[in-house]
Amino acid sequence: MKPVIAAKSFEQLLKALHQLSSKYLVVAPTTEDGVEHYRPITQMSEEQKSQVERLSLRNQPPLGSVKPFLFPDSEIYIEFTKKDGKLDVQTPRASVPQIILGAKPCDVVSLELIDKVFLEDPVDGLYQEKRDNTVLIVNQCDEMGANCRCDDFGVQRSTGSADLLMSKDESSGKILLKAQSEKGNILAEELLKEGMEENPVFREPKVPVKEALESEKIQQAMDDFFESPFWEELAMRCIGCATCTFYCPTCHCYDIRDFQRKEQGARYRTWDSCMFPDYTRMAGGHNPRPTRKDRVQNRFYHKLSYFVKNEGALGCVGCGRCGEKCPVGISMDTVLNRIGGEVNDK
Amino acid sequence: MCKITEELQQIAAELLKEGKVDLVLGYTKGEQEEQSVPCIVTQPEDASKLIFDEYSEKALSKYLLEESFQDKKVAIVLKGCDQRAFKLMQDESRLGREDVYLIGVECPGMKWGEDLSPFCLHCDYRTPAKEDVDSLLTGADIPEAMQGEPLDHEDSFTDINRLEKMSKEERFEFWKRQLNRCKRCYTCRNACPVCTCRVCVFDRENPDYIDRAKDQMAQHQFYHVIRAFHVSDRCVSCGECARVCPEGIPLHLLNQKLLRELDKFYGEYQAGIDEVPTPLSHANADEPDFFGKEGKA
Repeated sequence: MKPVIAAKSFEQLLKALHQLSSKYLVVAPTTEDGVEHYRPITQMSEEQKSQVERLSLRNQPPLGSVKPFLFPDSEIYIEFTKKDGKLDVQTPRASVPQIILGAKPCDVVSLELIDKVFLEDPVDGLYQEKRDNTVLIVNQCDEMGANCRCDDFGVQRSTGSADLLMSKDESSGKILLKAQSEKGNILAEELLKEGMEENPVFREPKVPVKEALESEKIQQAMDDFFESPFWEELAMRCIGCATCTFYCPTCHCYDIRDFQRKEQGARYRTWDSCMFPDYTRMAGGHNPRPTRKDRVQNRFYHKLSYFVKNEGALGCVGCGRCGEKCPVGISMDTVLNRIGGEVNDK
Repeated sequence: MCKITEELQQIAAELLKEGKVDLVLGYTKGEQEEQSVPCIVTQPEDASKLIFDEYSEKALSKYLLEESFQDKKVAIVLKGCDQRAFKLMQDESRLGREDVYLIGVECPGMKWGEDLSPFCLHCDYRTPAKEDVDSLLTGADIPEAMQGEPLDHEDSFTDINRLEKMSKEERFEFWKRQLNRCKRCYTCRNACPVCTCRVCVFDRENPDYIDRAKDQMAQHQFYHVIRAFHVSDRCVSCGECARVCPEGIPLHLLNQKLLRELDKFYGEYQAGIDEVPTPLSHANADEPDFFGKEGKA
């Protein structure tokens, strides 16, 4: 039987995790100026700490996904300084073990999709290091949030690479954790030492499981839809910002840049967006995606067609962040509702 | 259906039927609750999609400069602030008045969460002037807070007042925290109806004055401060920058602060209402020389 442990309350769980913060970076969802993000619990104000339980157990992901903790917005490869005519090159320190509390199934699956890209040969070392060093404590939702489409993408109960599942027993107020990986087992052991107790049962989530969209069908419908005038209309509405891509938990494009000041500098990678005109611009000036229509199409086709062809899965987890934050109201539904097949019946 | 929406659909259908325009750019109901989104209608029978309500926030004028709108005869729905942005574009020779059919609408004030947008509460130009547009649609259901005199700058800039009272250190911490959340998605820039440079300085290839990093160590403060200065005397106070920011950064405070300072230095000027030149686009011989020796103090 898989070990289940319980904390008397969420507060006790947080305290126990606090005790481990010399060993792990512990992050959890909270709000900063009203905006929802995962933040290190050691840097939270009391007010921010009081938000953690609600956001960790809520049936909706926070605005910021867990992605930045595995694939940071900016990440340094090397730092260089010039001294006495000699170049000194340093690589930054290795990543620290981290615990992500209150991740959602959609975010877990999004990491599994990024795994397909970054952990296949050639393996992305920076990502792998963090992935191996991360313990995910996942709360399965009991129902769907307002903008959630996880049921369409079949991820609402997925917990494949979660290390620990978390659930609240409403009658006793206990927080239950069920380990389901080696990393999860180790953390469970550590939490037992910090005052949590073994528990006979785990509470399973109530979210109903619905039949997901068939990835091949969507891909075919998308391919048949490529020449539709719909794309021109959509591109005329899109304002070409990167909100959809930067808040998407599965987007994983980056650019490599140098930053230099006199005698020192750094080479770093930083998120890039296929919505930017210079995303595919080449050294000679040629751009294979010269218009916004090309770029808008690329975003949707990458998620709903190319990713299926290359990786065998839809590249969207239905978290709803892009649609929620798009300044002109473009969402995955905007496209899914227009392509052929059974999706139209929605 | 409200009166403006009804008349708007009628005008749009007529313009398209008579071939006076190729497309009508307005708003339609979005997929989410309490959301209206930009909508392009090209067929008379689709004119019934158009609506105008208190969620029709997006400034539409900016679209007119987009490539896909060139060589098309466009009719566009404009609120007061949006018409100010249009007038700036016109004054700056970015587009011709005769190329566009303007449908001015009386704005009831846009929603800001549950409340009314603070921009709208101090707006005294909700409705474009009749002579500036081709059709003017009035009869909006004006909420009580929007009736009567708008708040003046001193009253409506309450957040600025709060910031001005902070110590330098507190203020620095405030902006550091806010701007550290910036991901440089450029939504604020792309949504701003007066941020209209043909090539934005931040889109230049490998500029050596700013990095592209998106983490806390990045130079977001430069991006936002440069942008605020670039639009300072041209801001039409539509509030789009703050509305669209996914990180909830109160970017409008930068613009409001600059507007307030400009008012002090140059007298009141309202971009897109008063005639050009804008305060910062010309200089008088007798102006104090801030960059010379005397001004340095």
